[in-house]
Amino acid sequence: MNLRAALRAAEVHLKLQVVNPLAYLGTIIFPVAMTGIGLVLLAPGGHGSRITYAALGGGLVGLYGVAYTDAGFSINSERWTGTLEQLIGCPTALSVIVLGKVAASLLYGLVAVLVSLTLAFAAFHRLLAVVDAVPFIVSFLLTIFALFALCMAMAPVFPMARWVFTIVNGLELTVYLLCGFMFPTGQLPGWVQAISALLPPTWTIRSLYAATGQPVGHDYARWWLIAIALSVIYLAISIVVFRIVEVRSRMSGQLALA
Amino acid sequence: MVGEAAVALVELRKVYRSTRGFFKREKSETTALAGIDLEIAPGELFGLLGPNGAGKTTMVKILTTLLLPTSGRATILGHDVTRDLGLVRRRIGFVFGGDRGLYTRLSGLDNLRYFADLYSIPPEVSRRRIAELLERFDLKARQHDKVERYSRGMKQRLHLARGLLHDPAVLFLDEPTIGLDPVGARELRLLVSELVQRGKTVFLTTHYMFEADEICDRIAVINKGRIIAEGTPASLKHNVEDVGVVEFEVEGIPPARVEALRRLGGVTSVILANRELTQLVTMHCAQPGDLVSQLSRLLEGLRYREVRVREPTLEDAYVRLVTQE
Repeated sequence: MNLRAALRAAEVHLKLQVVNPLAYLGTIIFPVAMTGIGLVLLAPGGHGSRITYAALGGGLVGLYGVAYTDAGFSINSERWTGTLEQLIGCPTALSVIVLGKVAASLLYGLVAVLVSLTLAFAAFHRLLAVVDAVPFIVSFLLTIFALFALCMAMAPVFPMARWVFTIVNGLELTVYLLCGFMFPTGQLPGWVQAISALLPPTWTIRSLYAATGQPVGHDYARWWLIAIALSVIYLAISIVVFRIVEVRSRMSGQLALA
Repeated sequence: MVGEAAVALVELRKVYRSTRGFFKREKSETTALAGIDLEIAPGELFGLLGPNGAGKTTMVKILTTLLLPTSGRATILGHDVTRDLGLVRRRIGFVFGGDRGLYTRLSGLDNLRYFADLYSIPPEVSRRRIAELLERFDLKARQHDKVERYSRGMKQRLHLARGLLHDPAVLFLDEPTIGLDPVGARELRLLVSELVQRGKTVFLTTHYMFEADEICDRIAVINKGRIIAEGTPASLKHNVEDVGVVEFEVEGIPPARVEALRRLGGVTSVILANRELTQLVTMHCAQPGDLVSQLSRLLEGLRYREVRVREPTLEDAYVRLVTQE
């Protein structure tokens, strides 16, 4: 893999996002709104666990929203600016370029987590009551990896067809619900939990909340292994889908906007 | 391997297939290339001419690995464009005309650095080469400016610099002077000629006949997906030596009069080009002297001027070829 190309793609993506006003919507406005609404709705009960879900969940929603949106538009935005043909015509695989872009999105998406936690502290004087520091850090890093794998698998699906774009674009909210970003997945119906279990972030987010003292169990090792295994599967799927999309685009001439 | 040619096409075909309708799917096919055979020698400046939709861009996109052919074979320096993607992409550069295809919110330097890494050029080499290209294409002073502040000519020079970053052996230029002012277009043509002198093979598509006539070693004319003529600019012009060309400017010629001109004996084509206030009428015929003598009668009541008989150009050869088709 051309690591230097991936790093440069990440740098270019960050530079482009800094000058893109819409990027601030995802990293600041959206997490502030989610966390703010969550805190106002959940705090009157005074239960610490609810506030944790609002504060941390709002940040995670922001983090994932930024990465999902950037990954989803990563190919189409290049098509709209006419740079997709230039990228495809390079010896570096498109998946490596998108990998750099998604990694950069997750990096600056961390701002959303910081914004949410700062809001929780400033408005409600609450800090996360981290019970197990090491599992929390490991879970958080694995959550980023799981989100990365999910976004990489989604990225090539978006540009397949207009109807696919519409459907997959709408799945962002579904993932928040299925993975338990702001409430325990145990509250979901059994059949929905079965679908949740297929998404890698479900397991890392569960372990993340467990590390903050939420009553969701403490089976860290198993959850982490499942998350890693699912993430690897998603990355493998992503490689295959990237190839399919590239070949299909080269057959139909869909690389240019014309 | 097809041969030692820089570019070789054997029976190359491209058919676009599309479907319409949601429940009742209707399939349709459009043949963009209908079996092309072509060879371009290393170091040659080859021009491809043709009307809109003739298949020029499709051919360039197949050769630059951006499009897959339906059948046939195409090779670049012996490497198959469908199988040896990595090898082909390292040996070719491509520049498409127009404003798009650059990161306009980044600087020119950032654009070049990005593509240098995508072509896996070692950092020490890319630093030197980027500096050389910025100097050579007169972009050094504005290298840190965002591309959105560049003029059209600067953007096109940046495109060319990007296409040459990895020092490709074969360069594809798809209408590179489109939208450029005459000075910018001339500068670009000089740069292209200079590249060929340095041993690069250049494959150029253009709508501008004088451009092809001025710089190309060899030209092919494509129409409806087929090569209908091929040769040096001089040999193509030779094909229209029997044709006389009469040109004049007229103010607002009615369609009925144009039809009357077309019906004249010996006239093979009448072309109208709109100018600011007038129309330029170009007529191809066997006996220009006879035609000129009839014009005053046919144009009676119209304001026209500068009736002249001239030698046929490459454009006349092209028009004859395409209209005969």
